[in-house]
Amino acid sequence: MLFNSYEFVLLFLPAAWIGYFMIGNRKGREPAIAWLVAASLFFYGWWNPIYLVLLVISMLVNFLLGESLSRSHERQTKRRNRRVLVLGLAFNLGLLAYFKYTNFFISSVDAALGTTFNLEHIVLPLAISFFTFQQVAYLVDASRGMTKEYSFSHYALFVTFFPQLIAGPIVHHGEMLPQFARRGALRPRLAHLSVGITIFAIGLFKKAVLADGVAVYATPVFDSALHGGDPNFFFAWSGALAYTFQLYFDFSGYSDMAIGIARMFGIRLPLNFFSPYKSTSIAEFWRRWHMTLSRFLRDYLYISMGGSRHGSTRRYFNLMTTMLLGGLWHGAGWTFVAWGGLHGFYLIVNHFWRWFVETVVPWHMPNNRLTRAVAWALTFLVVVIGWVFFRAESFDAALRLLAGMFGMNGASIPNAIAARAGNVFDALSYLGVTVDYSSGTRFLKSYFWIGVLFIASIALPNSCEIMRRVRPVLSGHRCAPEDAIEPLRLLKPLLVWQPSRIAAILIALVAMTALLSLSEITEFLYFQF
Amino acid sequence: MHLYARYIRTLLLTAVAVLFFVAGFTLTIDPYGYFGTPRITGLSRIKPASATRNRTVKPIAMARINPRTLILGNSRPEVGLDPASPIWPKAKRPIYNFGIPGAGVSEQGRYGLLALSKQSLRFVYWGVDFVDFMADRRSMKYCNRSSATVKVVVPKSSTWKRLKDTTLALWSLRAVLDSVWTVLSQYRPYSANRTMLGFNPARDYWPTIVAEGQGVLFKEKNAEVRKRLFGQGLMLVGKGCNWSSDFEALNEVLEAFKAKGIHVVLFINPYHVDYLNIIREAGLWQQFQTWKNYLAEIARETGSELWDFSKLDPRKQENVETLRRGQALQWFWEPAHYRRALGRLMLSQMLDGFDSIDVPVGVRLVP
Repeated sequence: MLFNSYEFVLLFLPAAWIGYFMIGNRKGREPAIAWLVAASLFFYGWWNPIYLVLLVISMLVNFLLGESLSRSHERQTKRRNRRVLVLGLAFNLGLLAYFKYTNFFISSVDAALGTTFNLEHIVLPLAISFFTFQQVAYLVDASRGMTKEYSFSHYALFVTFFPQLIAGPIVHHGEMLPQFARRGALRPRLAHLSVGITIFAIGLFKKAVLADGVAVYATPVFDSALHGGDPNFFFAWSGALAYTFQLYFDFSGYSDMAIGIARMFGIRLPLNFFSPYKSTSIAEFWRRWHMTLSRFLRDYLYISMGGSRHGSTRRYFNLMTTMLLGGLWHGAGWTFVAWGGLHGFYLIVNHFWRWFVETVVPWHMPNNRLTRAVAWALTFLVVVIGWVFFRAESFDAALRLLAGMFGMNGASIPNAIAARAGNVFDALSYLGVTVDYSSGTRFLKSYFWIGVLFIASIALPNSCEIMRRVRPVLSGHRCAPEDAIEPLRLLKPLLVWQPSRIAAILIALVAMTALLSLSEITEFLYFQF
Repeated sequence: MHLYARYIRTLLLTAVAVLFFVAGFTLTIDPYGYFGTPRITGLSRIKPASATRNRTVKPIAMARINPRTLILGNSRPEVGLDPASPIWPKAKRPIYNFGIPGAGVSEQGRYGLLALSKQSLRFVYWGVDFVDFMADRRSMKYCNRSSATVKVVVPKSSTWKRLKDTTLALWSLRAVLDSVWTVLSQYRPYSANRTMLGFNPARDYWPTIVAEGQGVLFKEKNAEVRKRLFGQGLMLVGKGCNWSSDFEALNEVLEAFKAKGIHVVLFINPYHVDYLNIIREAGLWQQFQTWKNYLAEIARETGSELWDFSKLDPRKQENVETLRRGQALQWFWEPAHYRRALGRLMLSQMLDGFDSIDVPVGVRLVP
């Protein structure tokens, strides 16, 4: 079931909410938790009930392993603890490898060796990457004694709680479960409901209106490159930028919805996005983009490999390995590996540059609006280039699109615009811009959408900032002023939510606009990962 | 807590108010012509968005008109034949233009069969197109007439679908935006439109003609037609075959009309010389002639008339190169779509007895 569907918003969500608090009040905590688990399994099984088998098996095995790890940690049997953890990791990564990467592995072997190994297409179970990572984190935490769980229904709720089951945020067991055990957690609170509905409405608007609105300008450009087209400068940039904003509003919209729904149940989830396109460095970008995945990769991969503890060369190696695997986590394809590798390279350059200006450059680097703007522009540019690999369905398509973006396929604008542009086009034609017979309306609409979404993502406060008075998430994002640009800083204090009539009317309009646009339902981009 | 209760109450009340307002607005403006709300000059007479919902709206609008005469085909008769033209005799009114852009032969036939349920239907004018009968037939399903089993079936109208369409026409962001666009378009000189009788006056060609010149329309269309007709494996019937699914569909629908005693006039749409040249350059001229023979055979068997308006005459050889921006050809919008003026001459001939034409625009192949 999709968050952005009428059946979810009008039927499932109200039923799950009412059922949870009603059962909680009448029968107590355990039946209420059982209800939420059942509702979450129904939510997951809505796509394809067969997926439930894998999810339930995975939960059962991990619960037993986690229990064993907690006990061995309590009894200080280190060897046994290590063995069980290795077994758990092998089980989870084995499942992920089989379902997500077998086809990729075989096709890569075929391509490299000219062989024709063939395998029945393995269907990728929904959300496997998310629930696998969440459970891997749980096993590691349990082996370290940082968390423990001896009730299967509680464990099942931790894994399947429907707001975060499909595409995150990736939560720690210790972050979520204690919230269900709090005193008063089973009493519905209007404050939680108000905050939850508000965040959900903002997220739904981001997804249904903004992300889906701009998507139609990204798809044809990438399709054209995939089918051998050579997109010209303006067409290529329109596709790359449209996708840049589509992905951001799609995924941050989803995260907002997840945070909002959880809050309706009185649960705070971790922050997952914090205006990543405002970042002035790629390191800061990764502190703001898909934050719970970055946290997972940092804590369980990068630091486990040694992090920055063994010198700069090893640190760069660890960074690159983490990002390559992060890329592969997103999708079983070489374009995803390239995207991860590209970001690994960016991060290495970022760290090297920081070291260079701090230790080699004899003068103090200025930190003013201009340097921040240059740093932001460079960061944004390399992120957009990265997204081309992320979205393109083949290497060839990505390179064709990049060639277009760098002007290697010429630059042209629709004749309909050139004919109306008068002297402006004369000036452009001196620069080598020609005309084509594509749709002028489409051209204008695509750049209009890109302009609007650019301003929204760069200049406006994000949902966490808007809701900051009511602590919308578990922990906010801290950064130094030079880490991000704030073009409309003055707007921030004005756009702070409070339960006023005006806010209620505005949020109702936002919610209704989003609901009315659900007629053409589309899936979330991150569901495929 | 009081603040939060007030917040949720205001939010819900606003949401309900928005629902009512949106329904009232979209129903009043009726941007697609779905509800048949009276068209108000200055507010909703011109309906630019209706073109995007042809397949949903036209069957409903047709049922509302309950026509005595039906115009069938793709976008060409939709643009060329005006049901409101004074040339139509009273005995044949009301007329509904059921032309659907991009519809192939089977789909056109399905719309015809849908209209067959209307007791008042007596006459059908069906504009057929050579390209609609051409397909990649390297792997043929229907090859010989003796074994043809195509069934043109009208999909059953489901209450659920009707409910869904009605809901979307009332309560969707698209419908709201299209309603706003409809109101704004009343004051734009060249807004697209579909009349109550299903006709497309093609006003949206004018902005291009004024700003870029009609030559651009010809250039774009010629490129599109060229791309299509030079496609691989394009054939009327497969190798060693004598029939195709398209011919079978046409034949079947004409038989159905015949069984109900409806008089059908088939006509081959007129083409500009540019279009005919592309057919020739693509090596399809012989197949074009064969196609006409097939049509004549089917028309004879089903008791239908057949007219051919594709013959060259001076009207189809106007030169677009000599035009300045803002000037348009008298008979064609672009090589594939003829103007209402040419449609009127075609009707004069087909309706027999109205207007006299010095140079006929077509010939009757099957009386």
